[in-house]
Amino acid sequence: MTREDKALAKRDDVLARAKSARRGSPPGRITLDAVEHAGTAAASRFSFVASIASGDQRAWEARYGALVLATGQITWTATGDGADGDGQDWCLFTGQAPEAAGAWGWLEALHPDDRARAASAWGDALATRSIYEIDYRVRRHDGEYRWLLVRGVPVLEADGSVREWVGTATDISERKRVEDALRASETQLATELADMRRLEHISGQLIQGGNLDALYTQILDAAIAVMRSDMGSMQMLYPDKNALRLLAWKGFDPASAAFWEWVHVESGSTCGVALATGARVLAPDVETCDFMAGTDDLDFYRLSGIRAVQSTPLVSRGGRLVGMISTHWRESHQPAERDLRLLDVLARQAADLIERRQAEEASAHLAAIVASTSDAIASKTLDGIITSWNASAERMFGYTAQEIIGQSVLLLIPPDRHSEEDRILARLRAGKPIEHYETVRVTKDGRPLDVSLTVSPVRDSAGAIIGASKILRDITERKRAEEALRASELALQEANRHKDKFLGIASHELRTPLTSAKANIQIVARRLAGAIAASDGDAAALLAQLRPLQRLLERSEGALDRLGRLVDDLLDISRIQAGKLELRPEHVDLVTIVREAVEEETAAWPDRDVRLEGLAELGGEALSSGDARAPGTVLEVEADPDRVRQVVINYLSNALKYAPPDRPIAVRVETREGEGVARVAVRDEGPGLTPDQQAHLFERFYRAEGISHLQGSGIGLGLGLSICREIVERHGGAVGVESVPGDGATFWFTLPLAAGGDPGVEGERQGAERL
Amino acid sequence: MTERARESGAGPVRWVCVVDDDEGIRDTLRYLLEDAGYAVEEAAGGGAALRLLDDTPLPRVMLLDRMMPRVDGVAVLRALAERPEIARRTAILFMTARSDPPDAEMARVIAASTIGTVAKPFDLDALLAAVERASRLLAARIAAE
Repeated sequence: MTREDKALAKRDDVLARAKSARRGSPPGRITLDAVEHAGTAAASRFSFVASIASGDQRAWEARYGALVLATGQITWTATGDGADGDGQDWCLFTGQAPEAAGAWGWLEALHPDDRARAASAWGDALATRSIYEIDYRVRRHDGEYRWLLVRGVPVLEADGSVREWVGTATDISERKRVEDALRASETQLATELADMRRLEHISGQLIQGGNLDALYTQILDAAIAVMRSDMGSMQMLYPDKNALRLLAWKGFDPASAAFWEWVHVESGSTCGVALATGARVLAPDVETCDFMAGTDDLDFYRLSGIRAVQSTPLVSRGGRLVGMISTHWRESHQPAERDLRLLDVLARQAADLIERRQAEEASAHLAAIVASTSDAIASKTLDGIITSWNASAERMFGYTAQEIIGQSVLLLIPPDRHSEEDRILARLRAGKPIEHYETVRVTKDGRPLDVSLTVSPVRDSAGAIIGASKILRDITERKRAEEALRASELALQEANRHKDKFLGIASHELRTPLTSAKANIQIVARRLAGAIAASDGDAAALLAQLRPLQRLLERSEGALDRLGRLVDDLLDISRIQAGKLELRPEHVDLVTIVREAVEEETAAWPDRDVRLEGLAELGGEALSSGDARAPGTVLEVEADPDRVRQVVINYLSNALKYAPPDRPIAVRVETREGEGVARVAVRDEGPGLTPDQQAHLFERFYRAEGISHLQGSGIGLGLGLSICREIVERHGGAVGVESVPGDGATFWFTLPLAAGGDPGVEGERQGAERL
Repeated sequence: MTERARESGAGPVRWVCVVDDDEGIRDTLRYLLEDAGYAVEEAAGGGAALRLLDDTPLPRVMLLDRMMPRVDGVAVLRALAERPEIARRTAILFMTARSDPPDAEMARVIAASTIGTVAKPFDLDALLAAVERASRLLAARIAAE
C-alpha cells in the first residue's frame, strides 16, 4: 500500500464516517460504514469492531470506550463554523461532559500551556478552511496528560463553504516519550561529541605547540566543560619540593588562588590528599568531608564559594606524577563516571603538556646558556665534522653556523696542530677523558686565536659516544694581559735596578766629597795641634807649618760645594716628583742669562775654549766667552732666570766634563722664526752618543754607559738632564740632543719668545728681535 | 815619596799606593799616610795603578777605590788575579763609597783578592790602623816565602 493509497483510504474512511454522523447514526454504524469503505489491509481491526456490533448496545459501548482508550483513536466531527459537532469519543477519552466539550469547551481538557496554541491553530483552520493538524497534551479522564495528534479536514459544499469538519485524534504519548528520549540522547551525544572535539582540539594544539599558558587555560576550560563544573585549577609538581604549584585557575577568589599557589602533601585540600595518595580524590561536599574539617583549606574553599571538588593526578606516560587537575562546584556534586573517564583523557594530555613544559624549560635553560655564553660552544662527530655552532663561536671565529656546520673541525686548527685533533678524536673514541688545555685555533680571516679548550664526549641514549662538545674560551686578552703584566714586572725590575744603581752612585757621589772634606779637616786639626806644639813660640816656623793647611781647607770647601750641588739636584728631583718644582717667571733677556751662565761656569775652567755664538745675526757682533759683554742684543722670554741659568750650566758642565779639553765648546743662541721660539744649543766635540743613549738621556736616573769623563769631576747623579727637561717643558719649551757617535753632541733647548708688553702684537716682538 | 820612607824599607812594608780618581781624596790620603811615615804613590785610575805595579815591582799596600771611570777597582782586582807574582807582593785595601752591595761574582773577586774593605767616609785612625795591619800581613807573607 503506497502512501497515496493510505491517504485515499483514510479520506474515504473519514468521508464515510462524516456521512453517517450527518445521518445521526450511532457511532457503531459509522464504524461499520467505515469498514465498508476501508481498504482490505485495514479490515482486520474493524472486523473486530464489526463482530462486537452484533452484541448488546451497552456492552458494545463499554467495549468501544475501552478500545478508544486503549488505542487512543478518537474520531470527531464539527459543524462548519466549529460551534457544534459530535465529540462522543473525546468525551469518553477526557471524561468531559458532552455539553462542556461543545464550542470551545474542549480547550478546558488541554494542558494549560498548550491551550493558546491549540485555540490559535483551530481558529486559523476555521478561517482559512484548511486542514487542521496539531499535537497537544490532553488530560485523560484518569487525570493523566496524554499527547494527542489531532487532525481535521473541512468537507466542502459545491459553493466552497464548509459543510462540516471531520477529524481524528490519536494518542501519541508513547511516540512523544520515545522522541524525547531520542532527543535527550541526541543532546547527550552532541555534548559528548563536543567534549571529544574539545579533546581533539587540545591534542592538536599540544602537537602544534605554541603558547603553553594558553594551552593550560584551554585544558582547564575543557576540564570545566567536561566536568560541568564552575571552577577549575591545574598544578605542576615540583619533585624537589614535593609540592604542587598553581599553573592556571579559573573562578577562584584571588585570595584562595594565592593560598593554593603552593600545595604540600600535608594540605587539607583534595589536591594535597591526591598528591599524598597518588589517586583521585572526590569531595562531593566539602562541609562533610572529614579530612577538610578544621583546615585553612576549608576556609578558602568557602571563600571561593566551593562546595564540591575533585582532584585528579596528572600522570605521565612514564608513570610519573607531574601535576594535578581539579574541578570545583558551587553546589554539592558527585561527578558522573562518564565525566571522570573523559577527564582522565584530558589529564593524560595535561600530563604530557606539563612534561613537555618541564623538558622545554630544561632545554630552554641549556639553550639560553649556550646562546648567551661568551664561550664558543660547538659539537662534532667522531669524524671531526662540526654539528653545532653557537653565537659566540660565530663571533669568535667569524664563520656563521650555516657556513661551518658539516665542515671539518680541521678548518679551525692551524695546520701544524692537526695532529692534536687526531689525538683528541682517538682519545674520544677510546672513551678516555680529555683534560682541559690551552692551544691555538685559527679564525676565518686566518688570525690565530689563543684559546682554552674543554672537550666532553656526547653520548646517545644508549650511552655510546657519538661525538664531542667543545667549549672554547678566547684567552687572547688574558694572554695579552699576562704579557703586559710580565712586561710591567720587567719594567719594574729594570726601574728598581736603575734605582739601586742610582742609590749606589748617589752614595758614592755624596760620600766622596764628604770623605775628602772630613779627612782634610781631621788632618788640618792634627797638623794644627802638631804645629803649635812644635813651633815653640817661633812664629815663622808656625807659619811654615800652617801654610800647607790652606790648600787642604780650600779642597774641603770645593768638596762641600760639590756636595751642595748634589743635594740641590736631589731636592729638585724630589720636588719634581712631588709636583712642587716652583718657577718664578719674569720678563727676561735670554741672551743675558746665557752670557752670565757661561761666564760663571767657565770661570772654573780658564783653559777651556768656550764660544758664545749666533747673536751676530741679531745684533751684529760675534761674541766669544772673552767678549760676553757685547751690548745691544736682547731676546725676551718669559722665564725663571735662575732655572734657565741652571739648564745652561748643566749643559755646559756636561760638555766640559765629557769633551776633550783641547776641543772648543760652542754655545749658540738664536731664534726660530717659524716656531716662535728661542733656541739655545751647546755643542761639544766629545765622543758623541748612540741613538739609544740619545733616546734615554733625559730620563731620570739614566746614565750613559762607557762614557769617560774628566777625572776628578765626579760623574754626577744622572739627574741633571731630567731636571733640565722638566724645567724647560714647564716653560713650554722642548729639549733634545743631536749627535753622531764619534763626532760630538749638541744639546739644545727652546723657550717660547715673550710677546712683549702686548702679547697679541706680532710686530712688536719681531721688532724686539731686530734690536 | 820621601827619603825617610825609603830608609824605613826594612820590617813592615812602608810603600802605599793610593788609587782614586778624586784628586782631593788622593791629596788627603797622601798627607795622612806621609805623616804616618809611609811612602805614598798616587794613581788616578785603574790603568795607571796596574802600570805602576808592573813598572815598580815592590811589596806595597794599595788603597784601591772601587768606583773609577774606565778601569775601576774591580777590574784591577780581576787583572791581578791573572798576575799572581804581582798579587803576592801587593796587599790591597778596597775603598768604596757605594751603599749597594756588589753582586755575587764581584763580591767573590773582592773577597779573594783583598785583605779588607774600607768604607767612605772613613775615620783617619781606623784607616791608618787598617793600613798598618795590611803592611804587617804582607811583610809576614813575604817573610814566609
